[in-house]
Amino acid sequence: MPLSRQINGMVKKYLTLGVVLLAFGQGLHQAWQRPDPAFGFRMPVIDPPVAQPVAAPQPPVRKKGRHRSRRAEQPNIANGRYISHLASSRLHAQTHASSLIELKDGRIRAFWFSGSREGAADVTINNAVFDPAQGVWSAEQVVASRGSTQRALHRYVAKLGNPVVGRTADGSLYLFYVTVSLGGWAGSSITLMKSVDEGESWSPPRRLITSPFINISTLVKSAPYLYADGTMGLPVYHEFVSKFAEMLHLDAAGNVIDKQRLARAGQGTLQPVVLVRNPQEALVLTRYSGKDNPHLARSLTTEDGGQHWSAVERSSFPNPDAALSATVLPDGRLLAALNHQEQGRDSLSLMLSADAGRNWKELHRLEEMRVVRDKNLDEPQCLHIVQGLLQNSDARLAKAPAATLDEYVDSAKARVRGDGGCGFEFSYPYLIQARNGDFHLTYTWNRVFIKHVTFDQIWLNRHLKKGANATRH
Amino acid sequence: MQLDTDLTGLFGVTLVVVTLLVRVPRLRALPLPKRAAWLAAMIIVLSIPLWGVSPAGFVRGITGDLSIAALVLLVLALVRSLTGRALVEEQNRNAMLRAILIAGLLFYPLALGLGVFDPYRLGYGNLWFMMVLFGLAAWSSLRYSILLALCIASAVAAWSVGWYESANLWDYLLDPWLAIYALAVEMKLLFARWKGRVHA
Repeated sequence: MPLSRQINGMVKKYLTLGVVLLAFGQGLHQAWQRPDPAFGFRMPVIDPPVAQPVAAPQPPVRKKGRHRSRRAEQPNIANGRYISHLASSRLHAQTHASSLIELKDGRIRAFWFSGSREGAADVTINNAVFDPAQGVWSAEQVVASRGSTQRALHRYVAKLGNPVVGRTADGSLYLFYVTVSLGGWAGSSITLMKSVDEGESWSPPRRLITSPFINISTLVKSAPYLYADGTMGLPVYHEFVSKFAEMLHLDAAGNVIDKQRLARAGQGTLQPVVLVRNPQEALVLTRYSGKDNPHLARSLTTEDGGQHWSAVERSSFPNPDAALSATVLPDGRLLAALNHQEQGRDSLSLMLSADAGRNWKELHRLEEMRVVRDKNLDEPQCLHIVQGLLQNSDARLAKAPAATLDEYVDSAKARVRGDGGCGFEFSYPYLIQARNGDFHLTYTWNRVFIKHVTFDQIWLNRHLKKGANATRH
Repeated sequence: MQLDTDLTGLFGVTLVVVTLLVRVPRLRALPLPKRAAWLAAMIIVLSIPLWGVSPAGFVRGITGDLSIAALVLLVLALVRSLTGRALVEEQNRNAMLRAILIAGLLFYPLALGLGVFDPYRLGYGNLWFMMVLFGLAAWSSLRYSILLALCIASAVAAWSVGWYESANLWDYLLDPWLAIYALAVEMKLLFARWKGRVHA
């Protein structure tokens, strides 16, 4: 090789090495400056239960034709308060995957997705506000649509899905929602919007980059939580090729700074729910989408503030490949809302664990329609049941004119009678405890409405006593 | 609003389309001013929002943002198409693509859930990972492939200034399209070698 070419080659090599040194000088400085993700949890603040005056025993209200929700709205100090409403108000739409946040003034804001069908281009992320003092939900409003999202993200978006709301350490609200550009839900990415005025207005959405494979297959369903340093943990899950639970760690600006794999592929762990028990300990419950029988939910734990997670274990309660939700009571017990069955989603239960999630007992059956599964009901019989359920779900419907009620029944008919039978679905619960101790639970009601149930600590305590002898699973 | 990172993302997609277009024979036959005018027109068309999103944005929705390594290869291909001059020798380029292929074959199965170790996590500024990359880039610049070293260095520089939305270095180093391209090139080379042996 001529000397000039050899020199030329050497110059190129050392010039390249110089570029490498410069780039890595900057890169290593940047990496050195980045704070390591902190671990250790920040505990939510719940006011202790207000001491209740001892009420004189009251005769039970036993009037024929009265619905439970109407009875429940009567102030009843001894029995506590249990009220249900329909949070969504849009008719003739498919509605699914609700999420809740308590606002600073004590009102509750809920989010869900709604459209002509799940996965349709017209699906929007909607929200409404519940005023506990008035006991009413506002009309629902659109927060994000496919069009507004793709305009802001500067890329094609085919459909929207699961919204999840959380509060940051500085008091802002983050709304995460799923967007898909290619394929089914396994092609999902997470989009984030921020609100500094309690959800009255939102920043333009931006994309979280969470996966190296075209940024697809990260979905969100469950509530975020805070680490002690104010950074946020967001439980997510992966569906492309295989299904497994993951955890995202976001800094104060909403940037992803870490990602942990909670389970390996093939373990069927979806939609992890994080239950922070103290600054160091947390339990994760997950939906189970695998093939093992019995079909039990999965769980894992941390004892070092989320730095390391245990191996995945089977929980003691069944899971029909359906989302669940849970919260930690101030005394450390765990309260969950889930489909307590191995198949189907036609019942929904409140469950309690007093031993950090090892054993669970059923406290209350929120919905129960397994009884009509094999009854071969004809349409009038089925719609009569739907009508009764709707009236029980919302006191306004119990008093509403017949034409209004018929509209609601007709909306529900498309799903309940979708396969010509009489099939019910109560799914995707989302349970929170407000600062005043009240519980708020929303869930998908037959994919046509979002139902909201609120109960206080007295009602819960009454069921805890009643359920003391309940069978342990 | 992240207009800066949106612009860099859209730039990558536009670069792909332009690089492919300049290889069209009818366009290649045009004199340089006319070719430049055609390309400018195409860039404008790709940037005009239709039904809320530009054609480049539409493609970006499907493909995601391209890695810096892919952008470097595209720029080299564009320069070669426009000037007829290769800035990097074929051997150097193939060595770089072979390294990309090996990285892709190791990385993607693990990142998509095989086992409990997720290499993608290392991309969030892990210093040990950066040191290993530095060693690889330094060795590559002196002994293996200048192009690989430049791609790694460019990716690290782009990551440190936040060129894309992603805060993960892997998204700057590698993308699935580049890995597929590297696989295709390697298979083509193997096929050519096999064919050469058969005819020898």
